[in-house]
Amino acid sequence: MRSRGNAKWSPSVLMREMHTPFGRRSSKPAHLHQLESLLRTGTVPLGMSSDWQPVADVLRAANGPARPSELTGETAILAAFRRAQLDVPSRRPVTRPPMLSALLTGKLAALAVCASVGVGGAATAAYANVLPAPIQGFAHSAIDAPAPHPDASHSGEPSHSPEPSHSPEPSHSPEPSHSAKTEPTRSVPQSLVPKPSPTRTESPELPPSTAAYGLCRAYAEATAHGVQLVGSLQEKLVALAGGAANIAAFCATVPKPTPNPSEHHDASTNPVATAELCKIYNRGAKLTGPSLELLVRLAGGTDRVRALCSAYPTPSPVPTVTHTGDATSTVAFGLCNGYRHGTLPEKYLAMLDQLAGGADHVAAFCATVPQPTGTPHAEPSQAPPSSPVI
Amino acid sequence: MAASSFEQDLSAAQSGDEVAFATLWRNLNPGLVRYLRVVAKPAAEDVASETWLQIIRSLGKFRGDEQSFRAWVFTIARNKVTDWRRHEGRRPTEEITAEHFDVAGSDDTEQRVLDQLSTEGALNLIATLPLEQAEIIMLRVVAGLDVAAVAKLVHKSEGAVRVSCHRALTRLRDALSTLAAGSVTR
Repeated sequence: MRSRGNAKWSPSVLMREMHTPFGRRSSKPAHLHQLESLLRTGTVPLGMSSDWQPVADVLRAANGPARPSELTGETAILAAFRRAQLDVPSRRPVTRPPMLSALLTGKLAALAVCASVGVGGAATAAYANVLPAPIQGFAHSAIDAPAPHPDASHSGEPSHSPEPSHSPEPSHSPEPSHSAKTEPTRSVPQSLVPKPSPTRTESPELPPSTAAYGLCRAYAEATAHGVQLVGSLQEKLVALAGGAANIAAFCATVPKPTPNPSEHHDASTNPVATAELCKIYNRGAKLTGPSLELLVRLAGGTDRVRALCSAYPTPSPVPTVTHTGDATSTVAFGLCNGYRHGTLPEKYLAMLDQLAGGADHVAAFCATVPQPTGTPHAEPSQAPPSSPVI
Repeated sequence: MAASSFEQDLSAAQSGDEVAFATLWRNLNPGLVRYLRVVAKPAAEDVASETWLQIIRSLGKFRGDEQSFRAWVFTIARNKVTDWRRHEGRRPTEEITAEHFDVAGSDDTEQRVLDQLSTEGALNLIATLPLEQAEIIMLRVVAGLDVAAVAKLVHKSEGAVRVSCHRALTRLRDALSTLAAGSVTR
């Protein structure tokens, strides 16, 4: 074939080429319409160099006949399709095949905690900051209960629900993204919602009397509804009361905490959230929605945010970039660009989440980030610093 | 798959016809899995399942022809990939080696590459491209989408998609030449 024994391959050229497989080599240029034809047909069009024959072979092979491994799983998908047909009248979500259902078990278990104490009980449990973090986060925005403690961990909730898509649905589908409706974790900044782990820990930043009051309210609600507290709620209350038999007596002695915690939620009650939000604030990034509300609440008023955050030194989150407003917006632009292209590595995604004030604000945040002046709009330079070199 | 039979299958599947839905699945799943295999390798099977569950949920509301159905399916898949990548990190890039081609022995590697290039080998080779280029090649070649559909799907201009295609194909050509040349010296 073409290159075997070809004298044009001097050893030095070969060595260089072998070590830089993507290195540019001088070759006859191909016209775009020829490449288009190559893409469409998998054959080298007339007039195009035979150098392209191997590429055509690759493209044809990539588009070869279906392989058995690509047609496995039909049974499970068809079963899901059948179940969906049964569900159509009630518009309930599709029942998932077993491989996915395991991921959701934790979420269902967490919801069961709510169900077992009734809605009022859930509310008071949330007030006591003893719910699993995602639910606490929802409660925080819904009923003004304390935000979930960033260190809190709890059973089960998958770190990533397979169901909702943060990205918009294709325009053909009017079905809204589930995340907006049903994903309580998205109602607080992502940076404040910890990844769960199997056991939930205490919430040491809450005064015991506050927790006790919430637990006792939950207990009262549960009793009124004829159900029992379960799991960690019950354990905490038993521990506080010094035994299951003492709960009623114990709760009779617990006063309602005087200051409403949601009104006086200063840095000492949620230091991690404050630090995180102030980091963003100090960086000059725009805080929006729940994260802004939370920061204002933590500071005790809009006019006190600056004073609160002055206690937190400005971090240097982006290496190699100086910390001016312009540089930040340049970084933001690069991050957003990578985000739009789906090429952003995880660590930069986390950074972008923080800049935007939460994962579900990223799209809105990026819509507000202007292209920095002086940045050419050419394709390669749009990519974030870490994306593959073109 | 002829367009008319696609439309019949789509319509029947939207009415709950399982056989018609199975036909859609068999026609689209291989390409979908290959696309996911290149852009989200470790999670390809899971993301494919999630994509199909989403398709099942939204199928009744889809309106359009076969091309737009393909674009719709791959858009859903891409969104699932984006979700996955946010949590799992990015596809690592690799360098091309002869192992990518499923060919044993090396005295005649070029010939083997050209004669016996498997689908798997081709996907492995495409997966060594920068992610953005690899994705666009898969959407053009395997998903069978035109430039306009790919541009919309990846949120780029048609010109940018063409440039990416051009770069990707050039890289493939150079890599294959290099590989073939390397086999000469072994």
